[in-house]
Amino acid sequence: MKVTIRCYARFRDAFGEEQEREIPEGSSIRDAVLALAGSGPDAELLIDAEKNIRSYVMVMYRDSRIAPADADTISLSDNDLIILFPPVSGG
Amino acid sequence: MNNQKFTGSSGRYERQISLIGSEGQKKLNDATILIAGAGGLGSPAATYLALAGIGELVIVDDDVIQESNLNRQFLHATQSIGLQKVYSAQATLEKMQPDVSVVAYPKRIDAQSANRLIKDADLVIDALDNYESRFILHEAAWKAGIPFIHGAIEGFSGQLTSIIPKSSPCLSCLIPSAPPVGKVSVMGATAGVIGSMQAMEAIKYLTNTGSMISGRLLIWDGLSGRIEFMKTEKRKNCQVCSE
Ligand SMILES: [Zn+2]
Repeated sequence: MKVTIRCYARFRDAFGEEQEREIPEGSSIRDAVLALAGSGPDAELLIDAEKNIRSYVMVMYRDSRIAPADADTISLSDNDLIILFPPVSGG
Repeated sequence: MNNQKFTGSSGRYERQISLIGSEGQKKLNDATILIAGAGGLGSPAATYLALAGIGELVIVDDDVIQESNLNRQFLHATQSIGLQKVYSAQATLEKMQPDVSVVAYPKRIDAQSANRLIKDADLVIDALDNYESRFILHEAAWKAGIPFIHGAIEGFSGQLTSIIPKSSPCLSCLIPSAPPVGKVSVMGATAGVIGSMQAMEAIKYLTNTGSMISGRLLIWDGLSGRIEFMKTEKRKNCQVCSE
């Protein structure tokens, strides 16, 4: 199935504004984020050494925030959209 | 809290009294707003709040003006490089808008100063540039029951949410720990967008107009022009807002 991942701020700089990924049926939000992160040097922006989504990453799915620790428990459907945003800090 | 200089009968507020009524205008005039940060967000937020007729602005910032501030921090002029930001902001605002009283506080925010500053404020504008100070000031505001209008920017992006004690999740629910510090690049207009929205939130709150951006985080992306709203929820065992 196909999912779209939209990125903002630093994540957009690293992964582009919107990316589509082909992932197996039944994949979770975490699987989709891993597919986006890939294995390049920017992967560590999103995931840690244990391949979990970093705790500061804001993951938005169907208007709601998904805690990185719960990203494993939510299965995606075809054509779903996930939004990734790093909290910004400047003023 | 009250301002003898207020000239509510003048035409200065004519175009907005038709929106918020004389009562709304009086509420603005009676208000004291704490502006934490006299930089990129503080410049538009303080300017629009002063022009709207807020009676008193208390501005806190311990920084001095550097040349690299000047692409966005329009309260400060080129000849003010090296001066304390709060005094430059005070002079600019009082010249622009004689009705407003500006109190300048050239100190860093710590637990003690936060409580003192919050005491007299009706609302806080978070125009700070770091989470350490934000968490301190936010906790003081939450405990005192004062609304805290959070904004933050980076590059072409920004975020905003209005934290209303007892009704919305708190800042620590939204951001449990400080995120890694990003790039310091910022386009001046990014600060203009988010800082202006912070002023708008304050005006809405004080005049009970519209609906607040509360219980949700506004995410603004200048490069695409997109705005997203992300619902926020109370975090279990939050150290700040759990009873
Ligand atoms: Zn909380």
